[in-house]
Amino acid sequence: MTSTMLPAPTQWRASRMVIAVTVCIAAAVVLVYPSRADAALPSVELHLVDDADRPLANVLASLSVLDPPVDGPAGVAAVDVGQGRTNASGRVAVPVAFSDRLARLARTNGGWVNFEVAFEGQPMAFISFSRRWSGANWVDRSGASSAVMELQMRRLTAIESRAVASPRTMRTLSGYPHATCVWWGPISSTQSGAIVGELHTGHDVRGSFQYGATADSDLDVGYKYGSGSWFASGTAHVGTSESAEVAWINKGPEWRYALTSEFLFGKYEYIHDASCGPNGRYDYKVAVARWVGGTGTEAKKTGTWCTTTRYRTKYYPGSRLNRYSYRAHKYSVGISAFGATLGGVSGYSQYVDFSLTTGTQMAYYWLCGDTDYPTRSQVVWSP
Amino acid sequence: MTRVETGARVLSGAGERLATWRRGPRRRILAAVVLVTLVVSLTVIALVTRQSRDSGPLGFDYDGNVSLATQYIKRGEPLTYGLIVRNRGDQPVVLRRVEFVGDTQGASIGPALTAGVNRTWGSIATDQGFPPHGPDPGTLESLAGSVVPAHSDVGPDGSPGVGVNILIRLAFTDGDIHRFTGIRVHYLYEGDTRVYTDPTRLMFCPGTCPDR
Repeated sequence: MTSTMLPAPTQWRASRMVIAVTVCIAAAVVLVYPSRADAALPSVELHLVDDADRPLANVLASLSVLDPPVDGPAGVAAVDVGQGRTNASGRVAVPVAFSDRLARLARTNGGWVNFEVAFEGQPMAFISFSRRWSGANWVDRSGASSAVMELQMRRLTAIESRAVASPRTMRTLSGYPHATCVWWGPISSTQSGAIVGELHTGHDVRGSFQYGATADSDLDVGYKYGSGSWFASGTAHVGTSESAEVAWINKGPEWRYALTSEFLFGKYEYIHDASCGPNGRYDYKVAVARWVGGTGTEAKKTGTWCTTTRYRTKYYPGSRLNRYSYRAHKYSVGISAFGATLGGVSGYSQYVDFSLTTGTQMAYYWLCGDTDYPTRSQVVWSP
Repeated sequence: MTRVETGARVLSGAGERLATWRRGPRRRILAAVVLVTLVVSLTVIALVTRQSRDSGPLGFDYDGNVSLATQYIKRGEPLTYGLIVRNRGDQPVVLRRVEFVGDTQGASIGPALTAGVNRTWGSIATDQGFPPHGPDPGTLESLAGSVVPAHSDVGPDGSPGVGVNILIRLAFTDGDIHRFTGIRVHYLYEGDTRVYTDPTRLMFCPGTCPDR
């Protein structure tokens, strides 16, 4: 009522203010809303280049996950979770929503989801990698949400061109035992030991090593195309979300072993039909499913230790060096599964606990690291 | 006419209120709020800037958490505690002083020495006595003024550099368990005073140290 009693110039000023405020709100909505929408859309970023580091533009990348888990009945095991086409720079942010399925997979794997990427019409194979759900986006080990999966052709095993159907067609053709152009399985599963750490105690030194609880590993994923050999292409993350842990406790002097624990691996089969590759070719994949615990050792390590002074460090008698939540060694030994040794398959453990305690028989003790000082090195020796 | 007069009265009243507001306590309150906001903002900026200054080129890239318990120490007798520092900067770092973070009651700390990047005997984390046994005393120098060379985070072959070994004299005259949460290293870089805090958790015990 009051405004109707205002003189005309005042009303005009008020109207102008209302218009200005409205325009500002509208501008804010227009400018802010799309960026909020983009920010709310989680994505996995890929960068694809060829042998000469040239970007591969306008290529369709298809991301999938393995589900159901390895101990379920065999069936269509790959589920598409997102697709995107690379831009002129060879980059693509594949939108991957945190669906109920991915939430379940992450929940049973310490927050990590193992993806596989395939590219339409490229002379390349499948590549496995993992990302952790941060609550808002997909992040890598460093926690970076903008982590880019760098994929370079020359590092990959080139095979015949294959096509990724878009969307993937699920069918069982006459003459094929199960659905084609998709991973099928697990056709079998097996337990195998993988090295999760290394413990060396020298003269009058004791040590402990603990894996589990918050420990985790990245294990290579093995692939075999047609009649070719097994090879590794990327890794799968296996988190130990369970409260279980295994430990090698208070090992006495001169105890030098690589430490192993057991993991469950699943084997999957991919039959090509004419629509997705060489008709009738069988591909195989072996991927880690989960950690199942257990402690073991490989053959005792022999040799001479602390032979150089570079990362040699002197410790007082009775010193106890504890390292926890640290990243352990990347082991380049093979894992045997299904009668095939997956060359290059490796364990990459982090968040393990480790301690060495020097005795009191000597005036001082040397501890040595292989890649840095004992407080940071991958393996710690004592002579 | 009446409506216009009413409107004029409204306008006039608003003008008076505005004039009163400009002169009155509300204006002073607003000025105070603006001032406080300005001071808080500048303080935050200063703190953030200082924090970034603290994250300077000196350090040691731990890949996890580390603790060191030194047991069976002899009360009253000196011992050496050592840490490694590397300089990833383009300019040399000049060390100034070190201090332990934690309860230093009953502890006698200092002096501190350094062993430079050209040493050939390794390094010391803990040792009996001070100066420590082993290194040629001629290779040790007083910490204040010691230089950590530029790019000493990387060795000639690309692996982590040996860094400078800071060696600190410690003696405990009183108390049973002495805990420290880190060591602050004060240094000069490009004329600015900076601080690196080594995060190693330390325990020194006359008998057996507890697990944590």
